Order: sequence, then C-alpha cells, then structure tokens
Amino acid sequence: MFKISIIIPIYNAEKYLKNTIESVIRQSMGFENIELLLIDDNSKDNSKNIIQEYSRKYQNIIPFFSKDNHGTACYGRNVGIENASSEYVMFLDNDDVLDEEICEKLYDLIIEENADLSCCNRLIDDGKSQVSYSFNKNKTAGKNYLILENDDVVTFNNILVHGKLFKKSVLIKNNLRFHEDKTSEDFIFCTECYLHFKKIVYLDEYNGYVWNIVDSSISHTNDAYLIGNIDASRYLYNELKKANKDQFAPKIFKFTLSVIFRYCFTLRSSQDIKKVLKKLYDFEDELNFSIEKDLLYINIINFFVIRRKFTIATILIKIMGAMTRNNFIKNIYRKIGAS
Amino acid sequence: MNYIISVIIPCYNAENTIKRAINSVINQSFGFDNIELILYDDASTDNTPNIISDYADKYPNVVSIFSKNNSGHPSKGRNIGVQHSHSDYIMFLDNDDEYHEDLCKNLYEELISQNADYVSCGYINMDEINNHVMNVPYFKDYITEEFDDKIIFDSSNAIYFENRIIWNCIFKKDIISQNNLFFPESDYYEDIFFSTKYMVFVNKAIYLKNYFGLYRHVRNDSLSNSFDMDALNNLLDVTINLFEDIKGYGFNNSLIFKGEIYEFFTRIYIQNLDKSSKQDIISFLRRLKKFEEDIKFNTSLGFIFNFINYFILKEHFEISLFCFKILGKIYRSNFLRKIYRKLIK
Repeated sequence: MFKISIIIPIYNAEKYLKNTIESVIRQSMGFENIELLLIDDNSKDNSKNIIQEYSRKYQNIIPFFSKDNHGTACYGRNVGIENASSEYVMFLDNDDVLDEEICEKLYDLIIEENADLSCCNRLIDDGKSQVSYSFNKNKTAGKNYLILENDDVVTFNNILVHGKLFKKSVLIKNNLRFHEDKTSEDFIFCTECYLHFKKIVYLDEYNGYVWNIVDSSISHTNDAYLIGNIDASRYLYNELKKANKDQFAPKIFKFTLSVIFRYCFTLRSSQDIKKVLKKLYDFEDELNFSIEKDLLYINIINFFVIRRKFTIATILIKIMGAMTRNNFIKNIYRKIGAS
Repeated sequence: MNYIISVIIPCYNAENTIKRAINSVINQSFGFDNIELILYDDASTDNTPNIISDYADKYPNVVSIFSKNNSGHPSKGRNIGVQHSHSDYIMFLDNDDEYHEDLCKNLYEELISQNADYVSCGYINMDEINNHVMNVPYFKDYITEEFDDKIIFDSSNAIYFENRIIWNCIFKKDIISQNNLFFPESDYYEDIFFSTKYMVFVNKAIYLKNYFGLYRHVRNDSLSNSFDMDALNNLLDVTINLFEDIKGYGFNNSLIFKGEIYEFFTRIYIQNLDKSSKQDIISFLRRLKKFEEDIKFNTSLGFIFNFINYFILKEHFEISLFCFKILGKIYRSNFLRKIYRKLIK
C-alpha cells in the first residue's frame, strides 16, 4: 500500500518537530505513498500534542506513545522497524529535515537496481551554513551513482543512518536492530547491516538529508563518546569474526581510526586524550591485524600509541589540534594540498 | 490550608437533591475537615445557588463558584473544580447522587496503602421501584491479581478495567494535570472520555469488588425518549475523538470500544426509528462502519448483534436497518419481549 515507511523517534522535540514532519509531507514522491511513524519516548514538552495534531489530520501518520522513557533514539527506531508496513524504511531524526526529492530518488534507485540499500549524502547545518559530507571519491562511469556488491558492501565506510533507504525484509530476517545499551549505535547498526546486504547503491552527488547540529544533544567532543566508539568497534570485530568476515576488519576500522584521531584534536584535556589513546591501544592490541592507515599524520600518531608512548602521542595530538584550529596554518595546509 | 481530597459537585437546578448530595460528603467517616468540597453552580434558575451559599458560609472548606452563563453540561464545573482544587486527590459527585459514608476513607486508604493511581468500588442504582447492586465490568483475561476483597490491575491491564463512571472512584490530581485531562463539553460520554484517558496513565488500579460506595438515583426516562440520530452522532463523535487520542498507545482498541459499539447498537433499536429519516440512519451506520474499520474491531457482540454487524460491515445498510426495526418492535412489545428473553436464556 505504501512505498516507503519513514520512522521518526521523538523526544522533547517541540522546537523543530513541525519542520521535520512538514519536510516529509512535502516529498515529491507524494505523501500518500509514504507511511510516517512518529514514536514518542514519553516527551515532557509539547511534542505529544504536535504528534496528535498530525496523526488526526493524516491517515498515514501513525502515532506511538510510550509511558516510559527509554533514553535513546534506538527504542523509537526499533519500534518503527517492527511496525512499518512498507517494504522500505528510512530513519529521520526529530530535528533534521529531508530534501524534497530524497524519497523519490532513493526509492527509484533501489527498485531499479533491486538493491538492499540506497543512500545519498547529507548536509551539515550548523545554523550558519551548510556543508556537504560525502564518503566516496570514486566515480562509476556512465551513471551518477555507485553500485557496491558482495565484498565491497561490507567495507562501505558510510556508517550513518541518515540519508539511507533500507530494505526492511533483510532487517527482519536477520533480526537487525539498534542496540539500546550501546553507544555509536549507528556505526554498529550499519556495519551489521552490511554483513547481510548483497547490494548497495550510493547516489554520491546528491545531498538528501540535512543534519541539524544547532542544538544537538549528543556531544561528539568528549572522551566518553570516543571510548564508546572504540567499544563498539570491539563488539563489531567479534561479530565480524563470527560471520567469517574478519578479513575485512582492517579496511572497516581504518575509517574509524581516522575519525577517532580527528575528534581527539578537539579534546582539550590531556587526561581525556590519554584515556582515549589507552583504550585505543587495548583495542589494537587485541586485533591480530594492523589497521590500514594511509594518512601521514595518523601513521605518525599511531606509531607512538602502539608502542605505549601515550605522552608523546598526546602532545602530537594537541599540536595538530591547535594547528587545525588556527586559520593561518589551515590556509597554508590547504595550499600545500595535503591528501 | 491544604486538604487531602477535593470533592467536586457540578450543580444545576438541583434544589430537591443537592442537600442530600452535600450532606453525604459532610458525613464522611474520613472527616469532613480533610475534604475540600467544591460546588460549581452552572447558572441555576431555582434555589440551588442559595443553598450553595448557605453551605459555603457555614463551612470554611466549602468552595462555591457561580457561573453567570449556563454551559449545558456538568463538564465545565468538573474541569473548573479540578483547576481550583488544593488537594492531591480528586473525587466527583453529581448533584442527584450520594456517597456512602465510608467511601472517601475506603478509597483513600486503599490508594495510599497500595501506592495505586486509581481506586474504585461497586455502586447501587436506585430507581423508583428497585435498588440494583452494580458491579463494575472488566475483561477477565486482564487481571493482574485477585484477592477476596479486591482486584488489582497493573500498568498494561488498567485500561481494560471498564469503570467508565466517575463518581465511585478516586483520582490523582497530578495525573490529570500532567496529561491535560479534561471533560469535553458534550451531551454524552464526557465521563467515558475522561476516565478512559486517565486509565492510559495509570500504573496500578484497584477495584474494591465487595464494597458499594455510591448511591445513584436513576430516573426512568433516560434511554428511550432522549435519543435521536443527532444524539447518536454526538456520541460517535466523542468516541472517535477518544480513539484518536489513545490510538498511539498500542492497546487492544477492539476490546476497549466493544462496550461503546454494543451500546450504539442498543440505542439504535431502542429509539423509534420511524421518526428519523432513512438517510440519516444510513449515514450514521456508514460512520460506524468506518470507525469499526479504524479500530480493527474483531470482538464478538453476541449472536444477534454479530449478525447485524455482518451486514453493516458489508455496507448492506438496508438489511441491518430492517433487523434493527424488528428488534425495536420486540423491545416495545411485552409479549414478544418475554418470548425473546426465553429464547436468549
């Protein structure tokens, strides 16, 4: 009956929720083709009323209210997966917006290529400007999208849940859900999905999802988040081993490593940085492979980390952090044209 | 000064019964000084306002509110009463009825000792001829725990406890305020709307099954004459509104609204269908069919209503109307009614 189900987990979102919902109603695909699931996690603000208002007005908007709060968006997304009636599902956060054409584009693509997942890029909206974030630099000749199949799927480094259309039957068949007790759930969910997907199509020049970071409740710049990321990696490595796909681990965690170092640059306290590096050492020690690193600065820093020279590594990180924050040096760096 | 319980009585032209109602609150074994009695007068044209003033003058814990305009429903008085109350616990009483002297004490003590959000008990319908002892219905599969004197319903079961009247129970004010619960100003079902929505937020409800704490004075002119198609449509509006509000909570709506649908069917055949236009009746049946589809109704209404409902769901409205007319004739004929009762038994 519906072509796509869009799932929005909601908690105290009164400020942006209407905008978010309206961006779904405006879809060029035709809102009558979309089932919109609004899952409230016991909000204390006006979100419930907004949900009631929309669900009364539109038959294809389905409300879910919880009497208890579950703490993370995982709960809402899982309820959405279990209750969606369409073949394809998309996740939208309660303060973000969708570009008008994203449903049409991703749906047409996933149908045409008979894929398990279709995805695009997202814009980062900090309230002042919007920056596009794309994952892949390679192009497929003749088409404006990339096709990834079989082994290429599992090493696809786009581990966001934003801007993706999932084939629901694969999620249900393999019991793929968001883990409520873990951090970096997006990273874990996507990687676990990639273990079971056979074909992904990536519309890499299209920005279909706008990520609002103005009042973002999740902080990416504290040590707890980064340690969570490392713990998630450890969990995933075990899952990879179980699925006999651990030969892909070096490639998969290469991206994770560069993300962790880059976020380390934003940490101010030497103690926090050291905590993260120690955890990182433990993780790398456990792996019986070494993570591929093709960026010079990562190689240098990691050289000291795996030799437990945390103090030196911390100093290097602080220097690099200061450099990235300094505009003058940034300009020179850009002119030299680093990789 | 804070009171423990606020008892709210909306009053309208009740000079014959209001003293009886008020006195039943004053005589509570709970202690009247623990009670805040809020009397809302909905612009009565008889002696009710004077009676209310007398009580308010005499007792410091009697609050009187006088409205200049008649709102037509007891809902307004109840809503305003809740807003004005100074207590943590709320009870309601209608100006025709009376409390048993232990009602406040029994309900309150049970609520506190069991850490519950809602306690209710049985009641007695008194008409001119008989007293009927009334037990509150519930779905037997949805009990959490049963004892000799009470039944407990937990968070997921409370909604299936079908006490839709509001005068034999005690409510917590914070649940009412936090969830913006109110009585809609409609002719019917405003109490069902309120109490069903309240139950959504209840974590523990208790039914004192062997205690009958309320005397309802029922007048015999209630059902048959006062219902026409407008009233039925109004009833359906409130029911649909209620469904829209609670549909997000994942309850078995088929069970929750079974009672309402059963009552619709009953009210249809009881009224004199020849007085309404066929088109009006069929429009109503069409709306009823849509409502049943929206709530995914799949529960039994009993053999005869199931039979009629089959035709409604298949949009054979003429046939269902014919069946209702036959039922109506049976209802109005004493002879046929006796035979009908024998057949049912």
